[in-house]
Amino acid sequence: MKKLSTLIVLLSFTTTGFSQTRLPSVVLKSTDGDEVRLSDYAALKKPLIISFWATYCGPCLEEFEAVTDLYDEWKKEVDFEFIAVSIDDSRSAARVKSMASGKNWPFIVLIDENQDVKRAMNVIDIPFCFIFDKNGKYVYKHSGYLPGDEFVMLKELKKITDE
Amino acid sequence: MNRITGIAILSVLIFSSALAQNSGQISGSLESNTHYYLRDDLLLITKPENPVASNNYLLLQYNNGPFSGALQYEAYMPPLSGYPYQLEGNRLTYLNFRYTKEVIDVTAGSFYEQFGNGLILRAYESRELGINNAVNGVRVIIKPVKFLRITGILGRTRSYLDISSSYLRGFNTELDIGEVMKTKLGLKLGGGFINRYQEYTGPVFNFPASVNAYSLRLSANYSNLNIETEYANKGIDPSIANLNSMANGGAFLVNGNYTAAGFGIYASARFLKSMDFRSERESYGNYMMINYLPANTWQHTTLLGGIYPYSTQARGEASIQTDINYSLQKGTFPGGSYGTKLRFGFSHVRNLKDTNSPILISFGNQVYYQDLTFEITRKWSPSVKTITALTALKYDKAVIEYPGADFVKAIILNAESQIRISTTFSLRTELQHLWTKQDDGNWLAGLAEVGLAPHLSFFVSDMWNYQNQGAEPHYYNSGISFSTDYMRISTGYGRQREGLICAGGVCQRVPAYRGFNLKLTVNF
Repeated sequence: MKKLSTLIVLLSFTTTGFSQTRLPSVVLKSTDGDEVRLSDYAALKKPLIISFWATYCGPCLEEFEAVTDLYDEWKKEVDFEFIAVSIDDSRSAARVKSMASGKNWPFIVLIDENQDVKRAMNVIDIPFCFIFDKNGKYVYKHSGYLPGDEFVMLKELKKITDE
Repeated sequence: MNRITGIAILSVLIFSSALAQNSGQISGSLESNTHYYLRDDLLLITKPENPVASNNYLLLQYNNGPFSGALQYEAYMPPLSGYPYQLEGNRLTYLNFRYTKEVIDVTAGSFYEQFGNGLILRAYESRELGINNAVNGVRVIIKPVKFLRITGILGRTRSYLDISSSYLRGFNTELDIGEVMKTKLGLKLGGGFINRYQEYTGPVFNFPASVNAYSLRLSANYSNLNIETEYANKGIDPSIANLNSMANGGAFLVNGNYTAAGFGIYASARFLKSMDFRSERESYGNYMMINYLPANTWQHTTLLGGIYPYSTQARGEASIQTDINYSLQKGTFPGGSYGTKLRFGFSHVRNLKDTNSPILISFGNQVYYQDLTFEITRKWSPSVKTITALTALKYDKAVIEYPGADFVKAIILNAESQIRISTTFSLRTELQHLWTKQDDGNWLAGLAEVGLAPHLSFFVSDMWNYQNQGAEPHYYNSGISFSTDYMRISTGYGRQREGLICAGGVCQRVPAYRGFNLKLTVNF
């Protein structure tokens, strides 16, 4: 326990020097089963919001509903892409496509079935969101979702497009 | 692998990153979960001698162009209540080096992998249940052309904090025929093979020390419709978990989706028998599995919805399910001004007609589980939303949990409301009731959560089993959580119900406890 506490303390001092600064090139799937990589989206040259979720995660669905309601409005203000990365495993991954369509989500939905991308981006619990700038460089992250967090996302997006 | 090696590697990673700031990158995560257990007279729990238990995980990853490396250190001091006691201790459990460039991807050391739907292989991590069956060995992935991917693996799976005594080898291929033919019909073929060898020194003649499993997959995707199927077969594999059965295993799975604007229907059927596949034939429970057989049912996450979760019966079952999502048009009478969403789910699991028959696709006459759920999400104004759900369940507790238990029929009603008081201040409440004449009778539950975006939230909840013939216990919980951009910390106090805790498709029986909890997660 002592060693671990030392490690935690050391890490909390050093975390500023570390970070997931690039989009990982780990393979995941589109809802049509095609192979894609998050790093492919860097070619869009747009700010990206990447949000990890699952079909059984209540706060995740709440977040997406809030984003769906504001999506068109945001798009008028900032040219960005929202990518929802599902970590549903083979129990529920097959239902992701019908859920996304049935809920009218306007954004990109991808499936990370064995959670390789989740691990590559050091995500522990969902929902978890990242914002990357148009050069694919990480600028913001947030664990959990509370109503109102979407406005923080928009603020961060505007900050990087104004720069 | 000892700790000195781990620390040495860690130092190399840190120094190399410090020396080459522009070329290398270190990232990672830390999770620490600690409980403090108290005595509880109602639950008949005496205070343990050492009331503190703690699960801790540190993951470090290093990336530099085509090279990457990762290590995970885990410490269970001792493991939390409900986790296997074999995890006690600390160790560097995961270490790998990976080279990925163009057509080739080579990993030496630990890795996670899944073939198809996982019916023959899924090496993964579920910290919620203490499951980690990462393979330790070598993996080579080759993608010589855009439409073909070949994966080969060789190694030994993890067993608790150690390595299992068997060897795994296998390969998997994915062929994208749609890409070859350049058609609109997305057609993909796949096939995988796994061999597990575990030495046998017992007296049985012709005992299968080596067990083979293979699977074949086909998926088609055209416009709004997609269908995927997988057939898996497993050789004779007598083990403690299958009571030394000499039967061949088989599984057949079909999933389909049809989507239109604001509409999506998913349907699935799965048949399986004798598919329990483990890295050691002496193991039991959820640990040391090679394949993954999740419950083919809706995963309820409400307080009372979690009381009767289905758990796959690997010796034989037939299951079907559907899930329909539909958004009513805004501005119409049924849709309202702010939108209404409907969700309907049905799942049904029963035995196979005859588990000894070679015919896999059949329905027996014993219902193991059934779930019918209807959910309406309605937004009444920009700041008020409600979710109302009604579930009718059938749950054969004698099959799913322990012999002699009731066949439970239950109705669950959930009324949830979400109110945004300002752009940062919100309130969420859940009120639930479960009616049943069997098992422990009716339950009443409630939850209230206050959110102060983006950092703070508080909650209180209670589940009251008011018809329990014993003590009519309350299972109360309260907690607070705080998150910043890279860290989240939460703490709480409560009483945990004994029962099945499920994560993904796997369920585990956990004992009741009362106490304090503290969780810290850091992403860096």
